[in-house]
Amino acid sequence: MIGAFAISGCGDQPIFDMLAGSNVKVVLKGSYESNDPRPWLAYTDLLNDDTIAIVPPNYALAYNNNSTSDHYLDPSAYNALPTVFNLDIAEMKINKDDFAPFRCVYKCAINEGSSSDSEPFFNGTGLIFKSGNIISDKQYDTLQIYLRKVVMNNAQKFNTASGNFEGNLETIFYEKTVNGYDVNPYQCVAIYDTLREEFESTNRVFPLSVPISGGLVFDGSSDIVIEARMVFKNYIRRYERLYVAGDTYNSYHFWGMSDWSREVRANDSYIGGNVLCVARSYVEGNTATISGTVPAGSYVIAIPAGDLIGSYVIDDGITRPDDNYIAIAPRTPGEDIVSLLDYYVSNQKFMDFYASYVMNVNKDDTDLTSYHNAWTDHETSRTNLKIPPLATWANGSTYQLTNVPPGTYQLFYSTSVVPAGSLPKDFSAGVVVTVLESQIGSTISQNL
Amino acid sequence: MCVTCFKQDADARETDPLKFPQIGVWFGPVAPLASTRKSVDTVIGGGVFARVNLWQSPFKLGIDGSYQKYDSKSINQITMYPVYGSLLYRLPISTMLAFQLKAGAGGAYIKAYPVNVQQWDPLFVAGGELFFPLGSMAAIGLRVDYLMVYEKRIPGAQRNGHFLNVGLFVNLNLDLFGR
Repeated sequence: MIGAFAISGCGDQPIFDMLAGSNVKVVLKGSYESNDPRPWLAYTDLLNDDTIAIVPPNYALAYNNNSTSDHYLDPSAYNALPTVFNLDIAEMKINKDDFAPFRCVYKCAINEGSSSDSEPFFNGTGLIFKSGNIISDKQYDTLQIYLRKVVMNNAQKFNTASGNFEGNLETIFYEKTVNGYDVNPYQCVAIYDTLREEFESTNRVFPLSVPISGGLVFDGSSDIVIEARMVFKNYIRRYERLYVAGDTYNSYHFWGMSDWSREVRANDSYIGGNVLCVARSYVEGNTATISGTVPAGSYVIAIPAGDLIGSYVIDDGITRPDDNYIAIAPRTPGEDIVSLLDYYVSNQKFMDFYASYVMNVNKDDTDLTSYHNAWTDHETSRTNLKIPPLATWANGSTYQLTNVPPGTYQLFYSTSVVPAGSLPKDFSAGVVVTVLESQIGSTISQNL
Repeated sequence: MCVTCFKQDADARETDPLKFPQIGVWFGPVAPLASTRKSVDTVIGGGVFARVNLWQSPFKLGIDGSYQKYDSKSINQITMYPVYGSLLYRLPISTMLAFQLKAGAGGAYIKAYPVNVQQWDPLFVAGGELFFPLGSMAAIGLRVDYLMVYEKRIPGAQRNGHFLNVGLFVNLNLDLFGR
């Protein structure tokens, strides 16, 4: 009876193989570079230019006699990069499967100008996220990181009437009050999303979809490392928004991700779509290093040999569609009847105009110049922008790319100056480098 | 002849409660071993069992079933329902305590997460039990079993499942055949 039991009716899946050894290490890095990132550049007003404002320019003019820029105030006494970067991650999933259901909170130091950054999140070492489990023989293409909060300090509050500094902004982070402003709620949708019908189901940071370059298939027996990089270092900028509560009008200045990819303009209420990210996987110990000479002060990237460099470079030709939709929402009225009636009339005109604009953005038609197509093209070009799996910065005239798994790559170096808040977009001609299995553990020399 | 046998058996059984049919329950820590340790952690499990003595020999036939749900610090889970028959041999150490060895085979119904597989697998068991009789009606004791879920029969599989079941048990001696 028992023998019959054993032979018939049994399954054919090797459960213990599938579960065994499937722990995967996830390393999080906050830089474009996968190793040896560029040091934090000092604060400049270029990070505080006219396109910051999320404030109606007419208001600034009227209330601050500020005719030279869109934003309220130029409190140059308060211009400084944040010193702390706080990140709260709820969990991670892979291909939408349960993967690492652990909340992790990181407080990272921003060491401005320091040539040797001691913060692991920003110096190329990376922070370990509690490891997760994956199933062998399954193809994984996307990591989902659920960002709960992104809080940076040096966020200030100003009185709009007097221009006076009124204090540092505080928020709750990891159940404690800290100096800073949580930019995650504004990072979760982009101006394109707010106008689209799928706005309510769009959330760009919860989860943040991180593509795994080259995909990942686990063979059940190796120690895999997934390196996930979100571009934060040298990619932050200041934003301004108006905060109204009753009779109080404050201008909030806070730090968020650079709008180099999806441009933010005055009147935008969201600044999302600007957390750029990529992940790659390799077998621990099964890697080599590529190094050589390169013009000093350039970024060196390595992309899979079959890819085109164009996928890793922003399409300058496709810019955000013109804001000829701008009908600024009328200001809330004063207390007298005349201004109240003015307000209602302006508001009605605004709503009618806005309604037709929103319809245009959602209408799918064949007119290539239509608003819908212009926005779709812009969105597609930004969604298709990839971050290279391997990248580094050459401070001097030599570079090195570490933890390179076997394969064939094209190496490029950036040929123009890249200011803070931007990513490289002009590259040299590519050089093909092959890392063979026999070269694991060694350094391959390739001068660029 | 048969009636005499039965009577002799009955007489003998009357004096040795451990030769009555037994039913019992057990619970205790159940732990993964060897390669299975890397996937899941130790939990508490429990089960039921029944025993019937083979005539007057020191051998018994047993049948066991249990429920074991393993967790892990991450997301692995194994829910296992082992069901097996076994042959038990009581060691001829005549003291108040009784010690018996067990060997058996059967099947285990396993549900695993996140692999989302439910299937039966063959099971082999070896173990031992230590009895403390409580009069003639019951006994308590300690049992230790090693379970192996045989998956290497599947082409390409490299691992079997290994588990250790340790438990306290209570059983009742059923005076079924009477006097």
